[in-house]
Amino acid sequence: MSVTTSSVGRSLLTVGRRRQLTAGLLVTPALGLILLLFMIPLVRLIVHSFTTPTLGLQNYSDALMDRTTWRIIRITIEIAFECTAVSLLIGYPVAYLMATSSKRATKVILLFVLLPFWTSILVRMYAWMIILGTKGMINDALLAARVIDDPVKLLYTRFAVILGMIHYLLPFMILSLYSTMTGIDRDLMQSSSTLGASGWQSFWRVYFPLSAPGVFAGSLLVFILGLGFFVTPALLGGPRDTTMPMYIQQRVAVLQFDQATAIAVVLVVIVLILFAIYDRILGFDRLFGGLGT
Amino acid sequence: MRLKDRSKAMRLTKMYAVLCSGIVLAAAFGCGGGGDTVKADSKVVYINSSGGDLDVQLRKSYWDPFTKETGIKVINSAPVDNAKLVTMVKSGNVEWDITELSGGGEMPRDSAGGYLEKIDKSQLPLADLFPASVTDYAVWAAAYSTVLTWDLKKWPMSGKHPTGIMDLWNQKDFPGPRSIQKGALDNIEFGVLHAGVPQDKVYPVDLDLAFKELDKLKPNVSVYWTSGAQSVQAITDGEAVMGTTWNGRPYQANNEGANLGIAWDDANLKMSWYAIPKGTKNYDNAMKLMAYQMDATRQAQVAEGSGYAGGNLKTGDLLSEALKPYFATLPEHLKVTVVSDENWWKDNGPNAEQQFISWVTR
Repeated sequence: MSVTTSSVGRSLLTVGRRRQLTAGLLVTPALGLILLLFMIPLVRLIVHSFTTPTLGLQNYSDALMDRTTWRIIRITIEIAFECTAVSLLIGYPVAYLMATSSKRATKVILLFVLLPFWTSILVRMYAWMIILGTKGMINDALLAARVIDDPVKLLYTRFAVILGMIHYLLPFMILSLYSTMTGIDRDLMQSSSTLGASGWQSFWRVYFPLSAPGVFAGSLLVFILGLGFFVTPALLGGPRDTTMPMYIQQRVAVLQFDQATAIAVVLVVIVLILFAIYDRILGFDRLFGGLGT
Repeated sequence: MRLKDRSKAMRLTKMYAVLCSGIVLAAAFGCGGGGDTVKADSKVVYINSSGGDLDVQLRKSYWDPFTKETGIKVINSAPVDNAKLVTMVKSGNVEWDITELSGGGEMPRDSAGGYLEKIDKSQLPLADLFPASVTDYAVWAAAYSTVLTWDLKKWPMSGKHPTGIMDLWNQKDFPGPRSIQKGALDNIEFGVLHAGVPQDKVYPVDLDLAFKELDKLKPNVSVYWTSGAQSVQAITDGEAVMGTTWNGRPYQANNEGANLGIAWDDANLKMSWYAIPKGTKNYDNAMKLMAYQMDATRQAQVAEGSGYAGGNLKTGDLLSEALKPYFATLPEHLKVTVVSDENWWKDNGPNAEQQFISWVTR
């Protein structure tokens, strides 16, 4: 019978070390891909913003001295925040339902949650344009029911943008919440009511805090994703729904690549700042802790 | 798992990990540099144009006959994207052999920037073309005008109806939401015209005056269109009752059953161009196709289908009556049209567009 792990001759690499090496090698493909397709272009972008057309902060002063840039930053953060709040409000009950239902029911709900992923986002946005338009389904229904006399302007509004973005982002929120909620021991709720807590108290003081990691993770994910939206605000939004990505695209379209790189870097910096604030207030370790252990 | 199996699994996993890492690293260091993905091919030419009904017409009148006569396959793509052109030329990975360029200063900017190949004028029927329609780097693709369109059901031609761009501001006679292009192009010209500037004094454009005048229009604008299709869709869908569009669009839409009017006062005439990106691999085929598209009969065919015609002097004689109300270079229309100053746009375009974004998000 042979000893299969480290034999005497291989004492240089202990089992622990070799496991680390293997882990490192396993991660290399993924890291390599991120490095190649993400980090290197990002670094080149940052370098470009500081060196073209001249060395220095010219691009940044051009971008940041313009009041429009700040206006658009505000709009972008606003939209992302509103999406996060709404998707949390809608997503939490759905995730709760999924986490507390029978296996079969959960699968059915999961199917509906994931269904949007199977259609192209562009097709979905055009569908929204048809539904929300002046001669669209919603206005037709409201007019037929005599609820309104004139069509309501639903398209090219902030409402339409949020609706379109939620359509895309809700599954991310729901799945984040769900993955945390499945780890919550339901007996805890029972114990809490045994000890005299009302239904609401049990939920608010026992269940909700335990689901917090999912809430934070889901919110962070949806918020960051929401900052980067281009297609939805462009197709469904009005002029005051111009986001940073759209702004960058506009600069590229008039061949002002240099300013575009500076604005792109500003967006990255904003995300990092928000990350830091998030960590300071809520703490990243909350994302990884508290799975009802 | 038994100890022996676990070890085997570990070894396979390690081999797999090393293999993957090796491939990624090799790819990272091996494929540096642009690389030739588009090869020179004597039997193919790639053309990029605006898309939509125009492309259908171009295929019928230009590209399929071209393939039949020369055996060179024409592969087309859309839409026109000047930033993409510049990026392609800069990166050395040029996908288009010949492309359309829109108005608004793109052609002079690209010519000055060195993004285009010099064209071989000897292959063109120069005697038949408008002199202004050929430069060192480009030829006219089409003359197109930004005009006013509206829902004919609301204001039919038999009664009081809009007569020109200035009616955008006329809520008294023609109330309702408006649709304008999302961008400074044309809108600032319309702005200063409404402020009272005469047509021959529009350029150089006073941007402050333009935006002050556009401020009066803004509360009534409900759609800022970004594509030709959207500009007519906005009217047919009822999002707006009146708006700007390019002259060929209502023609194409009405041929398909829409009910759109067209008005020419203070319209803005621009040229789109055909040019060859610098660094293309199929220059000869591109020039051949470019010359092929300059024929009068074929241009007339394209005009009948799309509403747009090119620079051949003889094309105008071959047009049908149905097309005339929509035709940009018809003499009666030219009388009331402002010709866009491409050189002003070349120098001031980016700043004007920048100010437009500022204005539109206020």
